[in-house]
Amino acid sequence: MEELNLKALLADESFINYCKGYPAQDVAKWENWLQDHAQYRKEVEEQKRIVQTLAYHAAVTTVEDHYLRLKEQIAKKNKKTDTRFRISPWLKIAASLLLIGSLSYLMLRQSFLSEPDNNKQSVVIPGEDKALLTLADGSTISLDEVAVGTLALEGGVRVEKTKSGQLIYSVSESESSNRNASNTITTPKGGQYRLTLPDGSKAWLNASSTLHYPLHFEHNERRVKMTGEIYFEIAKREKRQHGRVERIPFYVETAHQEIQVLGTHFNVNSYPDEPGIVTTLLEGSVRVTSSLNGESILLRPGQQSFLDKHLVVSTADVEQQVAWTAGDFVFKSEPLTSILRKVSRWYDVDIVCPPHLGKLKFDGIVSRSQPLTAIMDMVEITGKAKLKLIERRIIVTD
Amino acid sequence: MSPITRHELKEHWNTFVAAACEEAFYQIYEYYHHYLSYVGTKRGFAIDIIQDAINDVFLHLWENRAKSSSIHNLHNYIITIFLRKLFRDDAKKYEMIPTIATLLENCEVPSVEDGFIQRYTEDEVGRFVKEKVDELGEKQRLLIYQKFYLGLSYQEIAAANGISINTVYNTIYKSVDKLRNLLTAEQETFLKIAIGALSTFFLFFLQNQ
Repeated sequence: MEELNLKALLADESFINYCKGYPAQDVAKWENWLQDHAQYRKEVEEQKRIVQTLAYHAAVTTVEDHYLRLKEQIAKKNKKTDTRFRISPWLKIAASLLLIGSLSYLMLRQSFLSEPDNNKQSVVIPGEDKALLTLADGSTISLDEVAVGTLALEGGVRVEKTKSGQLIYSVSESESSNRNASNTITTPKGGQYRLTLPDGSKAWLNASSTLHYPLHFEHNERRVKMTGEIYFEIAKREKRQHGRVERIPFYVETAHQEIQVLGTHFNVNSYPDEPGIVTTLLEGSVRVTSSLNGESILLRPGQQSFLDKHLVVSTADVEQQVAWTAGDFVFKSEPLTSILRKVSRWYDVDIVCPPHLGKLKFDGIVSRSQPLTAIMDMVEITGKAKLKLIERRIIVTD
Repeated sequence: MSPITRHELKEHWNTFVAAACEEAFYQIYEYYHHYLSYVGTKRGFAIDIIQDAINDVFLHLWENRAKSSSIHNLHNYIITIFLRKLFRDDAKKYEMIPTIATLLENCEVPSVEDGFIQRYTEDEVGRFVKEKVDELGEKQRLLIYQKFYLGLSYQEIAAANGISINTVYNTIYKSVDKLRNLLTAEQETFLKIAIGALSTFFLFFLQNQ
């Protein structure tokens, strides 16, 4: 039997991920490898345990050492330090209790590999209007917690939260000392938010998205930056130049793409975990330009562009693309992985799904106001895959 | 040292707010030590700057514990102070960071929230391994922590520590090899016991995710 090359094993990032038990594809990769190389199983298991043991102790020691340094800082700042302020044996006691608890638990369980209890399932509620606003001075406001009314007056711009829970910017002085000031709105997983920008354009953020915009748009162009998914309704703005009336373009920048807009409705989906950026046009016209290679395309209403490496135009299923703004999930022959990515963002849950099941396609319409189980049932009822919810994680099995 | 959940974190925070309890404070510290080390390294900051910023955040939290009940969203609060400390209150640089959100969203910390865990502390092998880990230099421990616990890439760790990928890799390999030899030479029996215990907890933990 060939000697296992320990050095090569440790150099392989996926092997260390396998030891850590995350992400699932690396675990699966090494499990598969072990199936084919059963002779190495004992050695690999041993290696895995050494990695885990080292990880555990290195983490404990590093954090404790570092915490001691914090305590020194605290003591230095405050001479009359509370003498009780030290690491107590509490941690060790807690760890021992957990150990005893785990052991008793295991003794009660006949097999580690038995099916997890179904009654561990808890109700996961859907997302809601939730976002964090970062003002020009860096301070933040939690928009779901703050009361209705004026939130801030910055550089001649009033920021207001309306009764219906939207954010509205209104310019009260057109000239301002700080023309470069900008704000950022951020939705968490399980959050969405609507706002009206200082130029009257509307933006609707889906979960796990951000929009970065200036308080005063330039005279000749308007420019914002985004991540995640946002539906825009851009207000037409005009300027007079050389006696002519010209439209002021609106630009939306994402990681690899720029969209030029003249006044229109469109949706941009640019989540980093999606295969590419999808821009869907409902009304008007937009020019989409890839910043990867400069490719540029003019979209017509009902069309969508897809940018991965290249920019590709196709006929859009508009209803499906913007279903989220109507409060629905609409799936049309959509792969399970893609469905679960949306679920993960809206219900703030993690997903574990083997690749062969991820390719299965499903149809369905489910309201975003339904609890998570509605979508899980929709998939399960087909009998093609089983979904289990454990804590905040959906585990897909055959 | 269990990777505590967001929910538990909230409870620890409430305890800390109510009673300035140090145990609760430490739990929050530990959680965010992992989280911020991970996020900061992913964003290409040097590890010593990250570590200083983490302690600055918690120094701030401790000093302002009397006012802590006014903090509604602990997570955003910590992230905001951390970023400011990272940029040394340099507002100009602070504006350069894309957004708080991209920093958060593009960085999941697998080990902290999903992670693996072993809880064996008081048995022979546990003490033996702990002793050996204590014998390692602080820098070596840090590299092992970054690689095996936080799961950062060799490249990210090299950049954060200002050393070559080879150095990171060799240091980690040497530590593993040393421990492995020590264990096989002297502690075969202990190891076998420990292996049993370890995998038990590992499975237990995975199953309860």
